[in-house]
Amino acid sequence: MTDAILAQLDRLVPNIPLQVVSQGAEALVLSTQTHPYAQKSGTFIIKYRPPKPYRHPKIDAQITRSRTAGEAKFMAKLRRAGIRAPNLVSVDPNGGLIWMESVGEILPNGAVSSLKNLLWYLEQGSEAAGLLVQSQLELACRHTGAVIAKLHMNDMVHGDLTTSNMLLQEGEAYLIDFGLSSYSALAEDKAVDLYVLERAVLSTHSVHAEKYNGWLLAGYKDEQCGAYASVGGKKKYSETLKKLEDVRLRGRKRSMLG
Amino acid sequence: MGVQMSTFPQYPDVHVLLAYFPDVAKTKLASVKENLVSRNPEYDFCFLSTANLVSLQQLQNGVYTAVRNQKQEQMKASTIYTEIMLSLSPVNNINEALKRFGVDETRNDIIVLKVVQAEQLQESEKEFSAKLESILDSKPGALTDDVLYNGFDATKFKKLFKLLGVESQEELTQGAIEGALFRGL
Ligand SMILES: Nc1ncnc2c1ncn2[C@@H]1O[C@H](COP(=O)(O)OP(=O)(O)OP(=O)(O)O)[C@@H](O)[C@H]1O
Repeated sequence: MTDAILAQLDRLVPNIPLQVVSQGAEALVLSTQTHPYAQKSGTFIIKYRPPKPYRHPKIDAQITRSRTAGEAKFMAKLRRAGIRAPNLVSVDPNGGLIWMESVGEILPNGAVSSLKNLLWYLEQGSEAAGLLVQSQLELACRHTGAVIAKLHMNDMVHGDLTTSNMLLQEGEAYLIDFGLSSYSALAEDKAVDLYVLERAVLSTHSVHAEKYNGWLLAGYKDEQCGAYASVGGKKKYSETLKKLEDVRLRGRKRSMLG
Repeated sequence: MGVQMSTFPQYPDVHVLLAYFPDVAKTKLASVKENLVSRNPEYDFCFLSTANLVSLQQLQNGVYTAVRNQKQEQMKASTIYTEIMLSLSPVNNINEALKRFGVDETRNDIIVLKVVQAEQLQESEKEFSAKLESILDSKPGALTDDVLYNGFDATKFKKLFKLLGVESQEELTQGAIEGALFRGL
């Protein structure tokens, strides 16, 4: 399965050494040190949507093209809005390929600095290091909350806010993976975004979930009610939070019904 | 001296020759344009205006996209040189791309590119500079980021790429690259 995909990829990007980073249901993510056209050093990420044999080839080509273009455009919109996300390097819409700059760092334990890994890593040291680590944990959550606040103030919704889809770099939070992202001004959609994150934190960090979710929301609130106060941030914040209550309630009912 | 050469890691067999002529008579540029319009085979080069080019990276992105499209047999234009101009343009119209990125005889500089196969490189390189110096009656100079940033037409550029209010070379470059990548999408 993967060998066939790698062979297709080698036809699209020949002569480029690639390392597989992750294989999702829809896309394969790879990393490389090679920039396709500029003399730039660094690490670059290729997100590749291979053809899906279970779809009609013509429809498959259309879907791949529109999802690839959609995700790349969303990244560009984020950059223009000043929201931290990877810079776009190249797009091959027909090939299903997005070439972007890499964000994030490698933690001392060898893991990438996703919010998930960072919290895990910091938790391990928290017994010994105490308060210092507590404040690092809090800052990571607050910065992540703030970047989501910015996203929502621009009427953009991520659609898949898991703790792996935010990477910390030099203390700042970057969003990645816009395969399910969309544009919406509805408080409901933003509330669902926040709810998905809350559930994700609960599943990856159940012991401290309440604390982390509190910090995430505090970062979200401070940004919308602070930096965005003059452009209606407070009102949007309270609308979204009210919807979040509803969404949580619905979630609870659904889980009670099994 | 004068000819800059580059390749792309994906396509080592393709070489791009580039010469920049900073000081060309307007009459020479007008005559180049006429020869291109009448499809004179002696003018088989890509002549680019610097008006809407802010950095080398922006130019490299356009050339790369065109070469990739050619390799994948996905070109929209009939020649690689028109494909380069289209790949620089945010507007999905060949005439518009030629107008924005092709010869502009109101300016006094010009970039010339030739895309060649590795095996023709030796022969092409010599011929390339000799022929252009005679066509343009001018001497080439170095094309750098500073040359482009100091010389581009900021008003036209920002209007074309919808980048009003953007100032730094880095952000103008990223914006122009995105605009070109999203053409027709
Ligand atoms: N720009 C980037 N910089 C650094 N790492 C990245 C970048 N983009 C993706 N990754 C890495 O690749 C992984 C998968 O990327 P992404 O989430 O975009 O793909 P996906 O196929 O949608 O994944 P999934 O199906 O698991 O959600 C990320 O969790 C991250 O570790």
